[in-house]
Amino acid sequence: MTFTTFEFFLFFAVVLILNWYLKRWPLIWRLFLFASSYYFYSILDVRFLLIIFGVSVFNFFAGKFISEDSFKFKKILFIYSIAANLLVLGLFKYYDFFRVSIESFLGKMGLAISLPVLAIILPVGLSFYIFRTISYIIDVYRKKIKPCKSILDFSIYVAFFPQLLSGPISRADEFLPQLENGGAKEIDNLYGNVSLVLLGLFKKLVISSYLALNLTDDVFAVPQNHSSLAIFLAIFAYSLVIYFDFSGYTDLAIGFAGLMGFKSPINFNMPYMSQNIQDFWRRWHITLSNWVRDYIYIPLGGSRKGKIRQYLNLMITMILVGLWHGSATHFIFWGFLQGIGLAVTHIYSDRKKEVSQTLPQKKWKNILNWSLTFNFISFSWIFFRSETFGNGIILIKNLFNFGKIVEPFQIYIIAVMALGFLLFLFEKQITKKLTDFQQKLSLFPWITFVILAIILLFELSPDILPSFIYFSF
Amino acid sequence: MENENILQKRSSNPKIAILLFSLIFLFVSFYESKKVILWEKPQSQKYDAFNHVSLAFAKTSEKIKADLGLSSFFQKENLFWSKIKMSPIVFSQLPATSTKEELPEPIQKLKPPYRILIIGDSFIAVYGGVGDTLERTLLAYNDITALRKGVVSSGLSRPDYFDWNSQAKTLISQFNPNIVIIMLGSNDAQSFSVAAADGKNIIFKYGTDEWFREYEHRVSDFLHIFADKNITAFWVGFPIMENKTYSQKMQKLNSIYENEAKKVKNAHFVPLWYLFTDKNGDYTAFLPDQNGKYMSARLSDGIHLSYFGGQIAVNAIIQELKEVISPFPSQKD
Repeated sequence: MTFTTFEFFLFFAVVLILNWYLKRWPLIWRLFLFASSYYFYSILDVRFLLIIFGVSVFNFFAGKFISEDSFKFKKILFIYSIAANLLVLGLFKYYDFFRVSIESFLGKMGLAISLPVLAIILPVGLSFYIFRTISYIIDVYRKKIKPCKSILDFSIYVAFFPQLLSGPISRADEFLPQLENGGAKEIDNLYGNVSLVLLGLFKKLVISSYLALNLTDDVFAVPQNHSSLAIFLAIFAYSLVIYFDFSGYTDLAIGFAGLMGFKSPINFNMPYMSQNIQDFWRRWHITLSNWVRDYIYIPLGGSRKGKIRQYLNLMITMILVGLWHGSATHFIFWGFLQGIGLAVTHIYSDRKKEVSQTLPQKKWKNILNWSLTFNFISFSWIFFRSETFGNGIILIKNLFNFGKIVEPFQIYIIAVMALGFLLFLFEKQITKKLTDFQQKLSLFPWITFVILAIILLFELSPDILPSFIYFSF
Repeated sequence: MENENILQKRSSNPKIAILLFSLIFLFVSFYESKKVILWEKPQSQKYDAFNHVSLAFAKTSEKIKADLGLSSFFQKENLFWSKIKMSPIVFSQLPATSTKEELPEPIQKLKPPYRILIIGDSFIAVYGGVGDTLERTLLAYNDITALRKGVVSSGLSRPDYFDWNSQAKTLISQFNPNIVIIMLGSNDAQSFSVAAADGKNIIFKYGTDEWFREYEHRVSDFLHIFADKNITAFWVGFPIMENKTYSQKMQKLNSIYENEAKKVKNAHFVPLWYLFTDKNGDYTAFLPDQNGKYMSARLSDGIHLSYFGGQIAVNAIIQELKEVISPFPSQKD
């Protein structure tokens, strides 16, 4: 059951009614939130409930003991808790990667061993909720937040269904207070949240799915088969596919949570308008960027231990971000490229500061910076999207193979790409205009408008809908 | 001022959101009932009450539409959106080969216009290769409309990943073809699970008798979807593959497609195997063109076809089409 299915609309309508009706009994309401989130998760695979429940209970009690000053083994428990969370993540997500790597390494050393092959499925959303629990444990240990008193509230925080599968990765101090005393009594900006739902559906059902099914899936599957022009277009189209897929999901998640009275952190802020890679990571998957900044980059020493160390920390952090997306060389290389991009940005801005801090930025420089950044990001997505590192290289080789006949092209691909570029340029204005327009309508014309808009979006969607990309991370 | 207050109140009123989303479910699911049935898969979600209710609601909606005589409107509406979504093609290069030939008496003569549906896995989905060369070639003829639908990594082994049977039915209702060209199965030589009578899943390992029996059923069922609608089907076999083990598997699947096609009304098998072998019947990546110059017919993966290879395959398919389309239409000016 994902946000773009009809059964989800039914599920959400029922949840919405009970959510607002049960608020007068805070305990029953929280029990309902817990049950509805667990039900939502069980539809994917009922076995996932055991894992999420185990993770929630363990971290709740770990946080409780860590917060007690009288507890002797505070530090040991803290390290053990982080290690246990990482172990769960590692077992489900990285076991196969490490098994193959170790076997191949030892094989080369002349020690042919075979580790057990475990048929493990990755629980969807695991990477996201493990990051939530790790941040909770660290914040409690650092005394930044007080431990959660209720295991029920903590379990809701870990499993809250709008944010469960692909974030945003909210922090405990943002989320838990929203459960107090029956939570919000009214919706904060109904029209704004409906706009997010409409925009999220448009991004996913129309733009991202069309480009994925008609261009990028084909080109990235067999790059050898394509002309240089098709590959060139596919690289930029994929920048749109991943942005509209993930930000579309996030819009839906924030919109649905908002309609239930919950505020979520923002995850995207027009990332493709960035002036440099550092700027990009402040605007792209913001909750993940902030997470790695607070819990990896700064603990590694951040910028406090000299320039060389800072660049190294950036590299390490971004390689780990790559690894978070998946246990494969192409993700690691993608992370490595981001690290290089960040380090180069820092070197450049450090030198610039030394020369002059007061010179006004010229317009052509802004355009040049934007263009360099966007092209670099689009280029690096090649390794993110390719199924293997080798496939990425083949794609790049074929990009420069100009001898191939240009294949027939669907005009709509160009039109949808142009639409996509316009949308990311004017996203804020469009959202605002859509919200203002809804506000001006009286009740029944407004309801009719929303229903017709959703029908239109489903009509424009392909017959087969690709899964959300970030479900596999 | 009062008006603003009303708007402000409405903008924060949960009851309005509840009303909106209840109506969204009712109206959108009623209108899109066909898509609901296509998208919601009951077999994988036995205990999902929302799935069952949603499906039941969609089925009732379909019945209501039929009772009210709205079925033909929705069919037309579906076709309208399919056409809207069908993009015009640019940069198309017409095939160089001439098509005027003396033809044998057709087996079952079809009447124009010819609406040809092309479906399959990566051979059909990706540019170059077979699918788009075929689509491009067919679209260059008068009286022929073609719709191509290819899904990478799909097949008949894993309906949980992509269900071709229900997809085929939808495409038939939307596009109303009289000919279908199928090239499917390059990912199918793998074990699959089948639901047993007791509800448990049993694994059929590739290579076992039970696997082949089940696969034959699946191919046959798939072909019958078209035969039942009186659609002439062409199942395009696989060319020889570079990897010997994989090649043997594909050869075995080819024999299944050929046998099953023989049993089904208006179904034909188009063999490609020997068009891509050398003199000794072995795999070769290079084949001579009309002038005797050797060109690459295969991609480096030893599976898929290059443009040149695609043209060889397409010529063979067109030859088979001429068996049922006679006289074959002329090319567009």
